[in-house]
Amino acid sequence: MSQGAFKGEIARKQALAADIAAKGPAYTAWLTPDVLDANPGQIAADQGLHPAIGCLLPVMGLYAQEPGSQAFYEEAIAAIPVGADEAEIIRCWFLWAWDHPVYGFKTPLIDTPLLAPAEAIIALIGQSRTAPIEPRLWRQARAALSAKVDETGADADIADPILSMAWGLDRTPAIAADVLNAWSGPVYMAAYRSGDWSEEDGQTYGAQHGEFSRQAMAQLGEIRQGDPEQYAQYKAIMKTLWESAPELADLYRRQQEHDVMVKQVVGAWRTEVQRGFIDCARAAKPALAVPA
Amino acid sequence: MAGIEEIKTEDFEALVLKSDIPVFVDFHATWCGPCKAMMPALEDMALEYAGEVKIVKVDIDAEPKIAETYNILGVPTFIMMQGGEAKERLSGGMTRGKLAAVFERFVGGAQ
Repeated sequence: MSQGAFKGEIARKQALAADIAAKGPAYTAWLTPDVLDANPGQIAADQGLHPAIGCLLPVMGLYAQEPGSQAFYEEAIAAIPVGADEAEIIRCWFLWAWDHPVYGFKTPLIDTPLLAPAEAIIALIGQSRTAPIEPRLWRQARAALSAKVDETGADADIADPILSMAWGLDRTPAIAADVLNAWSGPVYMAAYRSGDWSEEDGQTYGAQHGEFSRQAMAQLGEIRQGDPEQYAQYKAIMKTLWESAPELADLYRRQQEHDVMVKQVVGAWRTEVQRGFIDCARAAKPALAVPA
Repeated sequence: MAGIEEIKTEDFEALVLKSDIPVFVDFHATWCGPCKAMMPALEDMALEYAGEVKIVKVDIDAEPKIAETYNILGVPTFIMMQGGEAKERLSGGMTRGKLAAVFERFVGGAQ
């Protein structure tokens, strides 16, 4: 019998929850940008969690860079039952994402030739809840969907989350984060293209932003990657540069408004995907068998 | 780096241009964070497509001649080489799903 989440030990869960609440060493190593130089799957495994959860949670919580990140991490860990089948949490979340009424992967595929090969992948995920899937079957399913994308000239981005799901979780746990990353791209782009902000606006703003950015970095001197204080200085310089060019004031104002709108749209989506994960975690059954 | 070789200019012809199988070349730099972030995905791809697609890395600072030949303007840039020719070019971070879609175009289909 598998021990499941937290290796079946309540003390492990309590210790991790306390560490996250206190922003302790496990939190810092796993859920902040520090993890970008580490192996999140291994860190999570050390805490008694499946590597797939280890790869997914930092991305889902934006590496603790948003005001709600820590609360999400605390709620997510609290939601995972001790001894739960953790791979099942991820599979549940994949299937939830496929069918979601607003953001679902299925929606853009309806009435397209991509639907059938995508559904074949979803069927495999369903089967993997009760029995291991041979790697060659995942590969065949991916090959069929990618061939259909090429054949039809469809937007590869709408197939990306589904192609990213079509791997064995125990062999390739990082797919959990890939699915989320593949999902976020189209959500961001849809938000970006909406509202009163044209492609030309984006190009004009981008070119000017690049020029100001070069000036700001020249003022800062040596760049220290990941230094929040220097980044705050950079942002302050950028704001001053934009405000010193009255002819660009309208473009800058509209970009700021557009940026706020995009963040709201993407933020609403992120809140929803976090809720989906937490719901799947709460519903997880105990691990009864060692997954292959 | 399981199955991923860092190659030098003098080895490029033998290991890439004359390879019997497609070669996915990762043009990277040691200072490039996104390049480093792609490594676990490339390692998974090397495992999944072992014997069908070779993955190699080229450090653009250490091997500027290759980078110049292929007009590498940013990193990470990936080029799928087949029969000595650059067949497909991609840039930036990518999921395993997107990488698999590219790889599947150059292999004989799932076994």
